Amino acid sequence: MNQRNEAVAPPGSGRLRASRAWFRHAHDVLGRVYTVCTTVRAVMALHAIFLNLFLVLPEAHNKPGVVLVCFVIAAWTVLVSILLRRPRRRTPWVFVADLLVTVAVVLATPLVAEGGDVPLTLAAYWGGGCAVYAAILLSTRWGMLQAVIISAAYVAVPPYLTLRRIDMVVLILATTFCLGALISQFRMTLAEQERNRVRNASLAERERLARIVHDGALQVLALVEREGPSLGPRGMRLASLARESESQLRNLLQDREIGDDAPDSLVDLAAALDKYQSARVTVSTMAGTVMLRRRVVDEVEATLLEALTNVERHAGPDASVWVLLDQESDDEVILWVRDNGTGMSADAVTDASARGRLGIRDSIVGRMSALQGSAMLKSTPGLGTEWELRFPVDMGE
Amino acid sequence: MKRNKVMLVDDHPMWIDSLSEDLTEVGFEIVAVAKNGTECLARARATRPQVVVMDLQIPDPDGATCTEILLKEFPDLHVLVMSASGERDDVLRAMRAGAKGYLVKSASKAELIEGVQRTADGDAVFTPGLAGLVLGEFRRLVNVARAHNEEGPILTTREIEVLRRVAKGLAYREIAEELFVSHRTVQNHVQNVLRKLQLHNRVELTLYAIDQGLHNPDE
Repeated sequence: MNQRNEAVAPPGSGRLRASRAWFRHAHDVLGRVYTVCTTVRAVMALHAIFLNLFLVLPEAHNKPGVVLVCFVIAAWTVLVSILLRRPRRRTPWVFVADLLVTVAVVLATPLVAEGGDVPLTLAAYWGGGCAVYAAILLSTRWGMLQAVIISAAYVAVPPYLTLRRIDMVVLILATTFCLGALISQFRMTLAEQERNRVRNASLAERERLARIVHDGALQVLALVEREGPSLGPRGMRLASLARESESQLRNLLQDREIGDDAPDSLVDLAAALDKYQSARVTVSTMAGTVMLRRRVVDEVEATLLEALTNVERHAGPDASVWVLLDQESDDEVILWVRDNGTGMSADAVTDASARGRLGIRDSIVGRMSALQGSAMLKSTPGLGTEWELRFPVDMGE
Repeated sequence: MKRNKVMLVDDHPMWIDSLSEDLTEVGFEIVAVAKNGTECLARARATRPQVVVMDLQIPDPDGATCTEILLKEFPDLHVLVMSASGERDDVLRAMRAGAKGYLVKSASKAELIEGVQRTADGDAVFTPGLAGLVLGEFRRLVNVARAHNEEGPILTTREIEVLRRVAKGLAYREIAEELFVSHRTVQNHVQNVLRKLQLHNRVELTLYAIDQGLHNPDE
């Protein structure tokens, strides 16, 4: 595996690496664009040579001159393509040379074909190639500069401003500008992607390190909690403080990814319930996820909160709470909320729910029926209360 | 014979000190301590402890992997898994490999000592959190098996009743009262659940091996 270990990249080096990645030989993203351009330019060269040999040559007064120009076009096309193949050879000098040769070919037109009966000069469409090369491989600005110079050359030879020459100028300027702009957009997107990748890798690494640090902190807190009580009353206080901090820290660590806020987006109910873990509340969920619509999860959380508030109010100061999330089938979720507090008699339960007290009818039963589920309360005096909440995974909209 | 040779594995020296003091007090003999996976494996082979108290977050290889390796070599070993910030998947991996139980490090001193004692006696040490994890794991295993048209590892209604009560924070004694059975019966149910989990871990591995074309008929 030759994948580079990005995870160890020191934070802050992202930008440097991202920009450098552009010039890496193996990752020459422009390579493919270059191949396309070279092919097109070769075809244009053949086209120009064909025109020159079959249409210009028979009527030219300087026949060897035409042949020489054709040879120059062919030779230079091959040479410049070889020169530009390697990214590190793409220096401005090559592009300047390319421009000079092209301008020379254009300006040679009146010398070999007197009378100016060559509509697109001897360079034909091939002449636009150097500006396009510069725009793609160097920058849009370089490309446009070359395009303007070439255009000037095209209209500087007789018969000057004809319709076809003007067409040619517009074509060169437009093509150069469009390709240049496209490619720089493409470059920016790639560089941005590379930066994001590096940033994500270093974030993941930071998170990993944070976990190690947190784990160490948890160990110390657990130790204080364990050893504190043997140090007398002040130690006891320390121990209870440690216990509080420990559950807070543990919750932070277990806070699994929560999705976006749209009411119909799917979020993990198990992760949402884990938040309620505290010194007093034990939450038991499975290792996997229970994906439900955000709306449903919000309702379930509100119901749980209501049940926890009830415990807080009525179950006594020493009551602990256990929350268990389980499923009997894939389409139904069951949530138990049990406390070991004072509890109440069956009569008190019916009474309370009939009068809508304790928030039972409105908050818990009501919310569950809204989810097309059910809520059942079991309670024995002295043995605490237990809610059994059942609701479907999908409400079938 | 009572098991009292204990090895402690934890990368936190303070923990080791405090735990070994507590355990020595109640009559255990600490035969080895280790602060990373490599030490753990080497010292377990050299000193042959009967009980291992294993922290999951230790360097290289981690606690779950050490549990897997040790139990393969010494099937008779009793492992109690502990962790401070317990990654659920690691806890499950250690349990599937055959650990006897799982405690969070924030458990009280009395709970810790009781946990080690019960592990030494061969009883399962089930916390409410672990019971919830195991319930979920069985549902997952059933789904995996169903995808292969196999009979999944099925918990009996009684076992599910017991596990749910453990997860809801009831003590074994309370569960026994509610279900009109003996304390020992509750204990056995919990034990059976763990045994099934380990057994079906092997079934799942075989299914996986068949899937991957790695199945070796000689084994």
